[in-house]
Amino acid sequence: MSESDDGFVMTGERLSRTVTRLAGRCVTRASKKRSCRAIVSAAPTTGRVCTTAGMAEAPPRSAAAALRGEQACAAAASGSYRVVERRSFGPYALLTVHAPDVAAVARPGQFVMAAVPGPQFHLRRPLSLHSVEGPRLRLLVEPRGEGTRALADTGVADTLALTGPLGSGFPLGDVRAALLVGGGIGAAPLQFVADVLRERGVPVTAAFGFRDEGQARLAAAFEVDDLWVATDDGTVGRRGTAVELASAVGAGPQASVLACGPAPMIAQVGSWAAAVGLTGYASLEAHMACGTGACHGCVVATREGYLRVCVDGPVFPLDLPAATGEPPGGGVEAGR
Amino acid sequence: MTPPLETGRPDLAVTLAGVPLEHPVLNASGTFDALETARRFGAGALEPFPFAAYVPKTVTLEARAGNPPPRVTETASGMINAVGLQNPGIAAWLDELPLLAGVPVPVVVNIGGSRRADYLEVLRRVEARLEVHDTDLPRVIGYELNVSCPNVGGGGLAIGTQPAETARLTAAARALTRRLIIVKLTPNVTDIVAVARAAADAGADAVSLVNTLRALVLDPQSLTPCLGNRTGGLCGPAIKPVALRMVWEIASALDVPIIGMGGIVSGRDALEFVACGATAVAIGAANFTGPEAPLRIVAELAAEMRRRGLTDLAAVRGRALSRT
Repeated sequence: MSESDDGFVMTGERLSRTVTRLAGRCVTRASKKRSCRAIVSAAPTTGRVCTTAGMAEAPPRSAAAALRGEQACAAAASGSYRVVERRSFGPYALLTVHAPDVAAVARPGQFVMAAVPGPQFHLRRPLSLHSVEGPRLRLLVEPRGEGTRALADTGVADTLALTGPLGSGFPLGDVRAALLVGGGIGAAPLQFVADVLRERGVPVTAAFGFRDEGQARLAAAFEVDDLWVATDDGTVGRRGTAVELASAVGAGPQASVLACGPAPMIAQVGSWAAAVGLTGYASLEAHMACGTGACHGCVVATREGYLRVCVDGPVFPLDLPAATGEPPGGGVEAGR
Repeated sequence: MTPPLETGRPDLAVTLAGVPLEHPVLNASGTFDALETARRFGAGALEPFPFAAYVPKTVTLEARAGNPPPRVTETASGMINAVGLQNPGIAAWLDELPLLAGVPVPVVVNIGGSRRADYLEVLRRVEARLEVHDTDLPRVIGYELNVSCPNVGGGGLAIGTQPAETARLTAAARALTRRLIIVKLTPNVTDIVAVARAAADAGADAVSLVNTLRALVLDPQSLTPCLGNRTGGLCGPAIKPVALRMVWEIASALDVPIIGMGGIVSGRDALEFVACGATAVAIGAANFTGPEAPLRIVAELAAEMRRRGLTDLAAVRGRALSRT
């Protein structure tokens, strides 16, 4: 038993919250989704209106495209926003950012591109939305390299340049029960998922896997009623992987599996879910440059070819990523 | 985001091979997508349009899957990519061309290929589509021949590193269109002037440079190549001095109009390319630092000119050259 920074008490495998949950947080704003025109035009007659209905006119190219079509219209914003709170969990930082225009249209599973503070040239870093509360976003940052370290060091009253929300969210409309499976920092967006489902009265079970005790401190950044933890080395919770934990905990035959984590973990979750007859969605991680669909730098191999994590995802049907890591027919060009 | 029009604002207008542009800043192919920008941010994000001309991502005859991931990673003062010209092929590309009808600036179609015949067939198809009088199409002013992609086999570098091959493709393309032919040059050569001269002599209206430098990044843990393609192309501020030198060399030797690019992240960077002889410039990696980058750079360019008492870019173009 150990007490974390945040008053969570870890008892064996299970985390019980000892703080009272704030009521009424994290209302989704999906209904406020703005419609937008697909492309500029001086003449309204040639403008194409990008509404959800308008998108239905063209047959979806693929499952991923259909998923994207469902959610592509939310207008992203770009600007500088103030950090209003910072909590740390070991080396990890949970930043709360006052970003009303981003928060107003954000959906669980979406991400922002955050500019690395400082004068040097840096690509923006994709950070998933840990949660949204009114006009505020929370971003969970793992210092992996120079850029993410600078982001994690952002303090209260600093400003953070963000672009977002970007990407598809988790389609939660048909979810009747959920098993959230998170690996390491990948668990980040699952808080937002849990918040939205909780609002709707959908039962949620979360199974998070961490490397070791140090990384397991991340668990304290989550407020999920039924949260289970495993570590690879068994120092916190059950010994094993997130998938083994999810398999042990279960959430019933009706549960949707909603996963986020590194690619090998997602592949394991996909295999396990298929084997036990569950379906769901996974949010994938990738190195990104633009984050907005232009550069094709963040692709992932899927059964439908290379798809961009930033706009075709980051949320994909659990069975869409190619098991082999390469798309059918191989994506390898002759000149490789 | 654009500075308010004020008296004494320097004139940013340039004429690129006969085509008037509101200012000299274009996008480098593959780093900005007007359609995706509108989808993410709404049409308002394109008003004003952030570039003086729009260069879409390279299109090839057949669809290309591109290279295996990872495809991008950051490097010291820059980044490396090996996307491998992923694109849907010219047929699907032409189907979507009407979506660009609302783009309020000239469009330059960037063409890639594995063989000379493929480049020419793409150009022919675009010309044929533009022949059909259709108000629902963007204003295509020309073509940029990408003979400099370091991340594909055949074509690409195989043409752009050889003056004779570059000349043969340029001349054949020249014969197919009255629109501009711009040849995008690679820095992966010993003598870039020889390639630029071959292009100019074969009828190119302009050259654009530099594409990325072939480079290698290792994963620090495994000590094996980071990218799926192993090697990639380096861009960003790290390559600016190389790009400047090459623009400077070509401008010193030839009269061909130049679109300069390579590591431009500020208005002063853009001005330096103009001082080395460029007529226009293009923004590549800087687009990835945030959507505000292009208009910020245009505004900074105006501010730099004002600060130096320059009323137009012609007054500074070629200042760095030492013609004999």
